[in-house]
Amino acid sequence: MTPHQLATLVVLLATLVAQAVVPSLRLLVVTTGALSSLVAGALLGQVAVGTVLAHVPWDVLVIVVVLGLFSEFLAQSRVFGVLALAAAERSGARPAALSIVFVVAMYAVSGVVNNLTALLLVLPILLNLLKLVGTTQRALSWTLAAVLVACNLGGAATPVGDFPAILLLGRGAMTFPDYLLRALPQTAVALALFVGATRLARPERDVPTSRLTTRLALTTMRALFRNVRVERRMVWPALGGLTAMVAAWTFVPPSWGLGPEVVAWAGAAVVLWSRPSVGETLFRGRVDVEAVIFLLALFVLVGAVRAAGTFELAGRALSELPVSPRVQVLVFLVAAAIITGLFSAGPGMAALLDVAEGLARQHPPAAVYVGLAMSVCAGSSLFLTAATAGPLTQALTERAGLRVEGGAPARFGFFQFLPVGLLGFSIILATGLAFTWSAL
Amino acid sequence: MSGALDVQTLEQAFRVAAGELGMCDAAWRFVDELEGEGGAPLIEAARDALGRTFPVLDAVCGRRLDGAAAPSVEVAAVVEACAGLRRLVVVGVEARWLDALLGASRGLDVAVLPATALPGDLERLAANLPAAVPLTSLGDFQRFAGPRSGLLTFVYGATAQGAFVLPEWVRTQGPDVRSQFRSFIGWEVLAAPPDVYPRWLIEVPTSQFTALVT
Repeated sequence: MTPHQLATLVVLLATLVAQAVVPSLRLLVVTTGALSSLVAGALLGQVAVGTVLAHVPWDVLVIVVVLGLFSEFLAQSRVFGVLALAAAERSGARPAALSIVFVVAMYAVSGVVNNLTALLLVLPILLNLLKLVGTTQRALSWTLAAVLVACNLGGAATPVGDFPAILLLGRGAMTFPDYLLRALPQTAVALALFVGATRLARPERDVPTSRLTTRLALTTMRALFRNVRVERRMVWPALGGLTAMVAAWTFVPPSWGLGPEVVAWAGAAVVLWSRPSVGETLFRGRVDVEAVIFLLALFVLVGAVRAAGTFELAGRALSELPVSPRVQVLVFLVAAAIITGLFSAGPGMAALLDVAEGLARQHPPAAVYVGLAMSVCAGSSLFLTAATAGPLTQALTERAGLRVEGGAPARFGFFQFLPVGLLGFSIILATGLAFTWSAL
Repeated sequence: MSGALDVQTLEQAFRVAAGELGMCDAAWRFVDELEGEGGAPLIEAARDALGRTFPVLDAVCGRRLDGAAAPSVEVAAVVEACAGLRRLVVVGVEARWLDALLGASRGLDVAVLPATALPGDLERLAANLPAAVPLTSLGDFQRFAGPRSGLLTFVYGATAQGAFVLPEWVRTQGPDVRSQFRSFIGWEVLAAPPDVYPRWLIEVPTSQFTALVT
């Protein structure tokens, strides 16, 4: 390894560790890391800063911004609140059924809407419901953790659900239908296995239930939403825009030169123009600047390592492993899942995609890329700190003031999440490996 | 009977309901369900368990045990008390009373100042109101002041001398504020003062109201 390669790699790893250890300072950490990697590249490798910046995938950032705005627009239509009420009705406010309904619903919603937005709107309603029907610490932990895992799976199910898949779409590694047709069945199978496994654990077995509590819960929920209606003037343009985007992603030929980022931008623009005052307000106040800066810094970090040729070294090392090429892919996918568990999905995917590109030259690219997306999804589900929406869920739960058995305040932290996280990690990774193995 | 009642869940659920629907509205809904599920014994058990914590629930349980039905909301007298007003700030929320008032008060610009002792989801609270009815706060409500403006609050039992109201009402009754509004309307929702210590409530002189609708 040259000093240039070593320095940029050390900066990348140190930054990833630091942002995972001190998440409250993660923007400061990653931007400082990005700056350091640019300086190291310029001084040790004569890599011009402009060269690294020119390779930042701006199209991915465009997709992240405009789909975030689309999610915010949809959220303002109040559709999530109405859906949550329907979920409560559907489950009959029984704790086990509530958990299943919300898990499945969040999987479906996360396929098209930013996880954080969806959870920010749905989680308070779920926590309110759990207050109304009563819960135990164990049941609460399993329910919330299962919802988070379902969000990760939903995000991986479609090319626009979460950052890792957006990165594949934005970089042109896969087309929209290619990804959807492969990832959707894998995530659906993993979800079914995961829900089945959580039911075997019977986390709600100690929750005291009675007809009175379910009656009171449903009566109260209906009263709380008595006049809440979906804003049709917002929900129809949003759904129409989404349908048009999916159609364009699927059918617009690459020869037109209109990449997925242009389609997303155009779709979001049409949706926002349907209510110009809302659109302008969202643009001014609700762009996820934190996510954009975080991802930009990661791209710079990874770009500096790439410019040093380190990913080619890693790819070569992988190809020299004394196992068959198919097993090499599996080794890579398992390593990817663990790395993501430690560093979270954004950094994990950004760093690993370059190595995956090397493998995709020797194997069916779609199998490698979707396998990687499943590994990143598994890793995101391993620890609360790795889940995109983990810290948000923790904060909302603490703020809700929910009481569990004995009147103790409910907790939801690293250790409450861990058993479900391990279960989700194992099931998602095993499912991804099985599908990938069969496709190689 | 209280053994059949999960007191902790019931209390938690009542806090959720009362935080957004109002203590009296939530109490009547709970009493209806308690009666439907276990009749008078279950109402008595709930009253024993939670009555001291929630005096309005205690009073409503008492009324139901005395045979009273859920109150039918009559808004005519309140609308009459609001005659001549252009703007009205409603202090506190009692869902069924507020919904009825908003349905009957055409031509009146209404704002709602929610109580904060039992917190609720303000976004959902606002979504339950007509689009033209904003939420306001103690720091902000004076922008609705004027010679044709009024303040209204819900009264949880009144006598000739005193009326029980939410603490937010007291914060709107400083001499500087009173001079900025024309009418101060109390709307009785409980019929009689609570039998137990009126936690969450404050007694104010009945003379504070320019109109007390019972």
